[in-house]
Amino acid sequence: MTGMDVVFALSMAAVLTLALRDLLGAFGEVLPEDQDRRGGALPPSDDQGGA
Amino acid sequence: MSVAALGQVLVIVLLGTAALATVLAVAGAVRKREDLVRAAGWGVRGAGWLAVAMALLLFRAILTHDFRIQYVAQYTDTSLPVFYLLTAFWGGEKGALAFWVTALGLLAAVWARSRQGDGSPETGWALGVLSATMSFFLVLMVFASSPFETFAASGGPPDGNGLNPLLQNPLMAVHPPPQLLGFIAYAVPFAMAFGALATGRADGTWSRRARPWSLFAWGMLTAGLVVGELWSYLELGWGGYWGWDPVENAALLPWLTGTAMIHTTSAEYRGGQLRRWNLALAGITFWLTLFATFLTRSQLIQSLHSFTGSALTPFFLWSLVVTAVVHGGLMAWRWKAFAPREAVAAWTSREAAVLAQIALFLLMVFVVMWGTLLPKLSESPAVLAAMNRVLGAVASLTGREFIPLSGAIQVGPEWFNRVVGPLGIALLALTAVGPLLPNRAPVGAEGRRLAWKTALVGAVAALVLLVLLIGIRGRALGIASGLPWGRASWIYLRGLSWPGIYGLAAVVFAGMTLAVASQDWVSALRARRRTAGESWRRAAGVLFRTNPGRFGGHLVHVGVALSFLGYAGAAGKLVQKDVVLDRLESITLGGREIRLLGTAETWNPEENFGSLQARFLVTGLRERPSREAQERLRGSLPPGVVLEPGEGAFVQVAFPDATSARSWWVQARAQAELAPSLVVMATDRDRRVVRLAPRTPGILRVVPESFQRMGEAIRSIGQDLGEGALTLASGRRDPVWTVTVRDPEVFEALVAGLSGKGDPAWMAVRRVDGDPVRVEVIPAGVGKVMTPEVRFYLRSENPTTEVDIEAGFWSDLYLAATPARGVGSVNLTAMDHPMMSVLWLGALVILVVTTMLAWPAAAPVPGTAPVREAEGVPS
Repeated sequence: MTGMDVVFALSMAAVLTLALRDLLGAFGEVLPEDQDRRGGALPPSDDQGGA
Repeated sequence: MSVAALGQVLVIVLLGTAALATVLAVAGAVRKREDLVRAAGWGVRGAGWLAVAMALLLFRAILTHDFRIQYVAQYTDTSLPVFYLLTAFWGGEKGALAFWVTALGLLAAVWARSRQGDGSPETGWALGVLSATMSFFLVLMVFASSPFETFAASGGPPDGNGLNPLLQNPLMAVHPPPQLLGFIAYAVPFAMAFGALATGRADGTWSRRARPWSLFAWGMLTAGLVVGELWSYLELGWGGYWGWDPVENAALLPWLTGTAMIHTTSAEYRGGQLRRWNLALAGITFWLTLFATFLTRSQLIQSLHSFTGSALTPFFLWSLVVTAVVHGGLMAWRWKAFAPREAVAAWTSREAAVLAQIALFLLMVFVVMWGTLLPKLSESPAVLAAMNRVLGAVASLTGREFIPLSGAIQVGPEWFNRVVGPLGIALLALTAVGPLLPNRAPVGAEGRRLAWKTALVGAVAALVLLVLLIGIRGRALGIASGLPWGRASWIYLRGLSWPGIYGLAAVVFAGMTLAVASQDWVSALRARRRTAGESWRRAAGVLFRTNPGRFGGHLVHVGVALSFLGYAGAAGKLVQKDVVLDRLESITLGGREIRLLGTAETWNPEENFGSLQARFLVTGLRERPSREAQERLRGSLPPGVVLEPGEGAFVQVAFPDATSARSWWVQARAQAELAPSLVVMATDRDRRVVRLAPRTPGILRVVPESFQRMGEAIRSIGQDLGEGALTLASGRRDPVWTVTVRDPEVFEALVAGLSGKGDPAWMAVRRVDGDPVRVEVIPAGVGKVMTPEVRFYLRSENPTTEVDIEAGFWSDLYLAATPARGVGSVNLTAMDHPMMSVLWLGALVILVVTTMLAWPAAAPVPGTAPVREAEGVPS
């Protein structure tokens, strides 16, 4: 196994973990018991400031 | 599991994720379910990461030379340097598709993240559009064109085909990513416009939020176009940067409407005007990106970009139809909801200028599209017959004579330049005038005064530029013809053709644009310094941050004006195309003399190409060898010689006798002309025989005829020596030249020259006809040596040209040379395009400022610049 293989395996693992986290996030939104978990403050919206 | 199988699985999972996200997003938007929309947002983000994983896999397959995969075998080989291995990712259709999916995945994920927690139907529709677009490209990857496809029967070839040499150039390698990103990024403003249309939310929020995205997309498209132009200028060797090639046109179309959209967005959030135009332009631009991809990928147009045998054409055709129908239908449905909040105030208001601008851009789109498609469409007999019917009917109505069209209509660059040129100039005129007009109001007395003042400054600036441009050409013409400066300038002016006249008009409006932009910047900076006591630098920073639309916009306009100045340089362009030159023959171009010194062959083993280099000496017409150059030459000559001025760059050297003159010029020519490409293998002093072999034999693998070329160089010395003085024979099997010399002192001179080391004090030597004691020499250090070359690749039949350019402001000398049929002679294209470097400078300014504008922190917000009112400057 070369250094490049290690770098590749690690980055692949990291990217797939992040993908999994986001996909689980999707389930979290639609599963009833998890709905309140995300009830925190929303990020600042850029709606302010008149058109 | 192999990389290929893993890749295939990943692409399918990705398609599933994107499709599911589409369903969730649309369901959430229709049923107003916030949780579904938010879940779709997470899905889009997850798909973004999966796309990155897919890209990593493809990179890995390419870097490890996994030739079991068809794509890797087709576009790379083991000899390719790592940089070009990486760029081979987008070197073919399948890879370009993978790049498209990855980039869209990432952009969509970034957008979804920016709307995190927002479960509104508007966001739902936008997410739906983004994930549906992604699904579309994934369907293409799964069912038509997968980069992970393996060879069915065999384990793949031992080595790949390698990358197209035209793409083995740093500029071409980096050209596709910004170009494709520009196309892809327009999906985001389109998705947001779609969201606003579908929900009928007409408060302009979408266009404000979409602004940084459309700036990003526009900047990327601009970068892609500019890098493509630069590549075309440097690599293709035809002397131009824009050839109105269908592929260039296709890339230009979304850029045109994208530019119009930047201006309508400003109008929408300033006063709620031009809303419908804004929505329409978002749709048209996105549609044009699909159209451009369709055009380049389909078999419709043959070019470097259309990968032959593409299966994607019908898919793209359908995507074009669906996008047009859905977006057009939505616009019709919501037409009333998006009525402008107020009418355009007056025809002297800024909005009126924006409207005029839209009209000009759309007209340009129509013209370019027409010119691109017409030649192809008219190939069909049915289309030709229909056109003849229409033209016949028109002719009978107007009573004119009608000659039916018989074959496909050819539309060349001339046509485009003639038709698009005036539209471009009109747009430049708007660029100059537009910023002077007030928002949502007719121009007032104060504004009018300012407009006149700026116009005057601009006119003066333009006049100065114009006089300089005319003068520089007149001077060159004067030197060449011996006429006085003023008269030569007048002759030049009278001889101007249409491109030249357009160019001069462009100089006028570019000058005005520069004046308008600097006037506004300077007066605002002065006001800030007076009212807030800020330093120049700080004041500039504050202005840019508080009102990026206005002050950043001015800077982009400066870049546009500079680019136009570059185009305008065409007015003073001088060209000598395809001139065949023999050794030491010369041409003149704009007060310069360009003389062919000789050719040399080299071989580059790392990149597997051989090049044939032509060496030209460029001197001023009145330039003579300097005293230092003559002294250096004298130092290398035997004692007792006399130096006299010769023709142009030449110095005449008078030797005491004919024998010493001959010995010297044989040695000098052998060192300058033979030693760079031939090496002595053996000498036989008794029989006066010397055997010569190519210095870099690798060149013969790609250019076998260069062996003959080397022989011709030896023969040319023999011809000057006279009948029978030198005989030449080539080896039967080996590439070796055997030279037999009659006279012993000539033999010694030849061998000495061939083994000569170091830089000689001369660049070229020729004997004087009928005067055996005199030799003409160009001393080293005169003028400038330019070395355009042609490269021949081991794995490709297409050679590439590498031009040589001496860049400057008033003059940009461009030389491209290819070997001519006659051995030893060269086919030269020489061009002098004044202000060409300003074109690239302008593009750089546009790109830097657009990056600053699109940067999230500097995302344009409708700022209030207190300076504006204080100064009475219309904004």
